[in-house]
Amino acid sequence: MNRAWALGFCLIAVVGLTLRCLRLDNRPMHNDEAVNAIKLATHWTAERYRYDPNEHHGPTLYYGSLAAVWLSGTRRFDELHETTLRLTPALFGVGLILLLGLLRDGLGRGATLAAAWFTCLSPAMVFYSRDYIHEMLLVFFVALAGVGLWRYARERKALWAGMAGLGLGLAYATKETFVFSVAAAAAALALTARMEGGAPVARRWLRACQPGHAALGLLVALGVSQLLFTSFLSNPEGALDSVRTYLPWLERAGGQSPHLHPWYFYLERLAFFQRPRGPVWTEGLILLLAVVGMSAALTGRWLRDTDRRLARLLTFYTLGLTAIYSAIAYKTPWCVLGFLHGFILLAGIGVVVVFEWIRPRWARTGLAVVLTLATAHLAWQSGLASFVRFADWRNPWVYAQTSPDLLRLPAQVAKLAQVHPDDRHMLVRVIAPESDYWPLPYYLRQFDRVGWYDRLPEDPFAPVVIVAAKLGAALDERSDRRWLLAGLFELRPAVFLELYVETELWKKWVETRGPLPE
Amino acid sequence: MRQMGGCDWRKIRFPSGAALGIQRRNGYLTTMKLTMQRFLMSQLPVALLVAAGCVLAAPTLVSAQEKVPLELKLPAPTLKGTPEDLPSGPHIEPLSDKPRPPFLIAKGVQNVALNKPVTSSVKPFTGELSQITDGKKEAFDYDAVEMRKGTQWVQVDLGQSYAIQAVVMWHDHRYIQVMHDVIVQVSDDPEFKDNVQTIFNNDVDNSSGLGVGTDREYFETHWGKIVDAKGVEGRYVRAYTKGSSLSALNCWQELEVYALPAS
Repeated sequence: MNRAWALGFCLIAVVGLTLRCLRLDNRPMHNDEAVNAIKLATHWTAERYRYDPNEHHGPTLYYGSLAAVWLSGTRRFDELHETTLRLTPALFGVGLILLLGLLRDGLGRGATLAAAWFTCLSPAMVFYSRDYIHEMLLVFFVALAGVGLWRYARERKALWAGMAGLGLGLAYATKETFVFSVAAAAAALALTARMEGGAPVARRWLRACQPGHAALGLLVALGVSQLLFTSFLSNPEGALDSVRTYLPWLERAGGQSPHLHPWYFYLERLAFFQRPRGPVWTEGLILLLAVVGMSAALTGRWLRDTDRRLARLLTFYTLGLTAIYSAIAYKTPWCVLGFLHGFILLAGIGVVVVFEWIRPRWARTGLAVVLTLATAHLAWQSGLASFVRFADWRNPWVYAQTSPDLLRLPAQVAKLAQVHPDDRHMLVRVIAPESDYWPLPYYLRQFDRVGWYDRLPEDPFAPVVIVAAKLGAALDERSDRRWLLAGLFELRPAVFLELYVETELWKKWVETRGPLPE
Repeated sequence: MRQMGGCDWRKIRFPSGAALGIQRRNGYLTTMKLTMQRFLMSQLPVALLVAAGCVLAAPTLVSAQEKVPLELKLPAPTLKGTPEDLPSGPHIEPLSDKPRPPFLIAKGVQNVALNKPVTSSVKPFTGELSQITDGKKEAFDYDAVEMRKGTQWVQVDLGQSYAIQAVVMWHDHRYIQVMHDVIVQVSDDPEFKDNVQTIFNNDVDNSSGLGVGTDREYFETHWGKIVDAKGVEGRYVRAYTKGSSLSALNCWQELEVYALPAS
């Protein structure tokens, strides 16, 4: 391995690590992050984690988080910090960069470096590496399976078959949408074989695969996934649930949902996205270079040290996966990562191709300058998306995000508890239709007497009551001012919560609190 | 079985229903009455003894019972899927499309703040202070006057003393949001040191240091916020804010003062 190449690759990984791990707690917990955190809470209780096939994804995120929890020394759930949670997807995001090192003999040296650089800087990749959800783990495990297959195709070693199986099994145990990646990969293999010579080539590829190795890969995939789904064999039903889960998701894909979006939902976010008074967001550089890479793959020209078959496989896989995700009406922006990763690998190839096209030295220098500026713009957008506009609806990757304003609410409740005789055992009632109070169960986790209601109960009063503003509870008026409205807090844009506090408790807090900040 | 004051009600025997029931059914009310009287007379001493026993025993037994805090069975949170994303544009629907009830005001009252000079605690970094009294309050960026964070005020000099009936404010209705620490004061002193009258204050935690407010917070909508000034007299109107639920920055679109010249 060339030393300069290795140094460059390591530098990219370090930049990737920095972008992914810096200020991980800057963004308020999203609804889905809080739900995942609460599911992780079983780690601190006598109750063991059980896979829930309805509404919830696979167990890898929770088991994967335990390492960070142990390393951080978190002894109780209320000590858990957002940084600890988000560190897991962040490290998988860095792992996605490092995995590319194993594709070096397939993508080519230059293309691998360029692809690693784009993975490192892509605003979507950085943003969702800092999000405690399953998506980054899914992309990593699918890539692990793909890299394993590639290495097996090169070396025919059991190790690589096992690695492919491991990736496949972990992807299965991560998120149901892994089937789209499998379908796209199968179709891409068939199309590539057809393009490379048809049935004889396909038969040759199959013959080259040793049955023992294939069995090993499948065994590893099945064994790992079922170990996780069954909570290490303590919940045998988990095995069946891992299949049963597809029913509700199938209904969701075509049925009623607040997440039905047009087919161009993902491509708009990648190519050109602007909302009023917001900047223009684009990962157009990656898309454009990917088109160049695809054209080179399909024509089989200008590929230099890139393996043509791999380039074609990536082309069909990426186009197929993009088509599948765009065709499904149910869309959430983090699903973009699966096929964006394919575009990024092809963009890496595209960089090498454009340098092949341009021969004059001065033109190559000019191209290098343009590409440097374009990647700088990509880096700027990443910084803007993850460190400045991390909760701004004009950011294409922000979706149903909790408003920073909400953080004032648990802070205020904690202050009130300090002057209440029951302290953290103080009774708190949270009332919101359709359970629209998340992520409060995470933020109020230090209180052990919190009641969660979908509608106004007969007796809604407690020392502290949090009510969805749209219920129009007016508890201050209903209680003849024995409770007062201590503030409105934004849960998400246009969704507000009201804080009602027993007047005497509020007066006590106002009297006992320290001097006001200047 | 629940016990009351240590007396087990299962142990008190009542006559069988046969004697009373049959007589009632057959309409022999007089016979029933007599039977009851006899029964009560014969059982009275026993009943009195039992009741006295219960009364005497109750405090002892209650105090003997260990008191524990009332444990409420509270509902657990329901795990919820990804909520709906926000509306795709800036023209978010107001929380209520019902027009608010009319605010009654004396005939002939005008907006006396229109085009009157405005001063502020800090210089705005977007827009001009004169825009706060120019009569324009559309949800456009160029109608918004933005100031840095912290508790900041704007002040309108009405030119003379007025009996103010209402102050109407539009801070920033480009987005649905809640402005914090909205305080409106009226005075004849431009420094607001003497004769300051607070007509609205929703700073319930007194974080702006002007006193604990008792008014409610409200959503910014195109309806604006009407404050009933109840005829308070003064030449200067000063209005405070301290950021909003969306931003730490302060923003103003329009301030109107409906008043008649002071007598």
